[in-house]
Amino acid sequence: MQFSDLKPNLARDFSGLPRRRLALLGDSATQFLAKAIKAYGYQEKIHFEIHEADFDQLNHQILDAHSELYQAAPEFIVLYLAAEKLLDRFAGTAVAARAQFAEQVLAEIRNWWETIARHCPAKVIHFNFVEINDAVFGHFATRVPASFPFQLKRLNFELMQLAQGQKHVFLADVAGLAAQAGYAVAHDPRLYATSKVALALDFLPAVAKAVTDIVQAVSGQAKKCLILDLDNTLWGGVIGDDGMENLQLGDLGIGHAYDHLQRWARELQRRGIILAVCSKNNEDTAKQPFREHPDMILRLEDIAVFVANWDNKVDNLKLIQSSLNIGFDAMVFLDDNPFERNLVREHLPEVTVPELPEDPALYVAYLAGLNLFETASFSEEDLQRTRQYQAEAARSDFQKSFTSIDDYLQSLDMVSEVKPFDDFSLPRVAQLTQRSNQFNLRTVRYTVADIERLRAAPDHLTLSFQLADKFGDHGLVGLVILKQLDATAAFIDTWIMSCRVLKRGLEEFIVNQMVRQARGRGLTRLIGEYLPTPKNGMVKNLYGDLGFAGRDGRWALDLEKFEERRTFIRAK
Amino acid sequence: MSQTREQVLTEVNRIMCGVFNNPSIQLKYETTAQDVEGWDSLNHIELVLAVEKHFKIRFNFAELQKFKNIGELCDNVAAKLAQPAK
Repeated sequence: MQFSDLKPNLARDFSGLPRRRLALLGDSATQFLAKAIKAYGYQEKIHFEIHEADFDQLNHQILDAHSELYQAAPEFIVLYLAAEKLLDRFAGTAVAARAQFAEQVLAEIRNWWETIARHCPAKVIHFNFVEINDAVFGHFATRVPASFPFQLKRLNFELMQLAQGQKHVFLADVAGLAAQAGYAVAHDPRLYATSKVALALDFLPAVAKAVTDIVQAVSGQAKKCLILDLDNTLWGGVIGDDGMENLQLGDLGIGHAYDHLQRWARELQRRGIILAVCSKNNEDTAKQPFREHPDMILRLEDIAVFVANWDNKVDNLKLIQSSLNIGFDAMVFLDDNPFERNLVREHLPEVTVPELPEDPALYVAYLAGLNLFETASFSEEDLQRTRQYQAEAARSDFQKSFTSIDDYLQSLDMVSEVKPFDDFSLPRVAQLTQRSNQFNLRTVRYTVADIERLRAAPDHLTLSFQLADKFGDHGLVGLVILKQLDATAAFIDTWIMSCRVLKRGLEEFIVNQMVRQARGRGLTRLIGEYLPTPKNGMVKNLYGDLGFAGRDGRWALDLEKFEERRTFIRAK
Repeated sequence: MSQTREQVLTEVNRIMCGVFNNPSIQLKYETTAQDVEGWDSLNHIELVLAVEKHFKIRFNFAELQKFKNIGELCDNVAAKLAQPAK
């Protein structure tokens, strides 16, 4: 994509698009970058309201608590330091001090990040440095600590280390983008010389995409599931016609192209992306290679939902969606057949359907370029996800042997561990606030840093709920944040549950626990609020169903009259 | 491919309407930055880079900055297009 392709978007109607306030600070001219972000946002249905500071004002804007930056109350602050400018600074550094150049710059950046966190709740999107080589030492610079390339690469590495401890900071790997595009595309020396614009115009769409991807991931819009077609997508050939032995996998035919895609899918699965299969085949035939083919990289246990039949794919995607209980907008569908792709695009426009190249050898490179699976967090829970969905399928088979739902729930032996948020649960708690859309009463998004703050606040009470049953551990699936309003009442600031555990009676269990905690503080009332979004209709009547009185989204529970609700979950 | 000064002007006019997001710009050879609303240094550089890309030519740093009016820009483009491809 070129800058001129994006630019017409600036003249479009942004009204009705959700707004995001973003501040842009750079030590080079950033006007074009701001335009690119704004225009790219339009295509992703975001209205970026961009506050641009005058160029090279980072110190003043960040360190002064009353600066225009903080007055603009941005949700995101983009920090971009140009490598070319860094080179000037390096040149001005005494030779004896150059081996410590990276430390010096890092100390400054660290101070900026920490100061921002003190002055406002914004997330920081920090670009790492485009890796340029000044060709003073040639390749030998890699062995000279006092050379610019050495210090620059070190800076990029140390930025990642530094960001580990700064939960409000998200690094955008602009160095990686520039390496992909080539420095000649990423930087135009004439543009820099005339206008101090360090990122070339046709490189800006890639950078704008990086910013937008991060903003969306932080805002809870992440892809959760990759759905794979089989014949000529996951392997070469058609199993029903060619037979398993003749499938192109491994050394057979162009099998290595498909190995590559399978390996990529398996890595995503290990990261926590759910894999599903959607194929027009007989189920047994379709499953055979997963069980028996020696060159298959994906195995049945990697697939959370396996749908192979002769129904149309739109219906099958709906089936997958309802069994996983995630939004269509969290699904990515891969199919080599343009007819199937278009059918899905037409009927399920929210599903992401990449336009796979015809040559399977290009599948992964193409998909990687789309950066479909940006995320704002990563926790231990992600690693367990496929197992959890498979356990869910086993439960649902088990459920069929019971005639009453109560008998079924009773037989599950459910146990819940209830605790205030702790260091271990923090990442998962933040992730749930960022990603949960359906069972989410107020849809307030928190970062790990926000959650840490709430946890320490004396007027807040936090509860996390873990749930396990005879089939396995669901992990942390519920959370509540209560804010004490006065001596008698607390407000339910956040109540989120994972959709994996609906219809288990966890709602009842949680309300019982909230009441216990509130009574323990001598309170007599719990106030709840429902803020409607396009996705959380399922909890519209939750408070009413649980015995709260009220209407129009505001609800109150009288703790003096409350009787514990029946539940089949035991507290651990 | 060689083009006349008039053909170049027509193309430059079209490119400029896109860059300035203003379909009603009417360029003449004598037009300078003072004559067009919003023609600042950033729009100027965007225009010149878009012209480069369109005609598949390359201006050097000195040329980028110096065009005193549209006529000079068109002449420069036409001259570059007339040179045999390197």
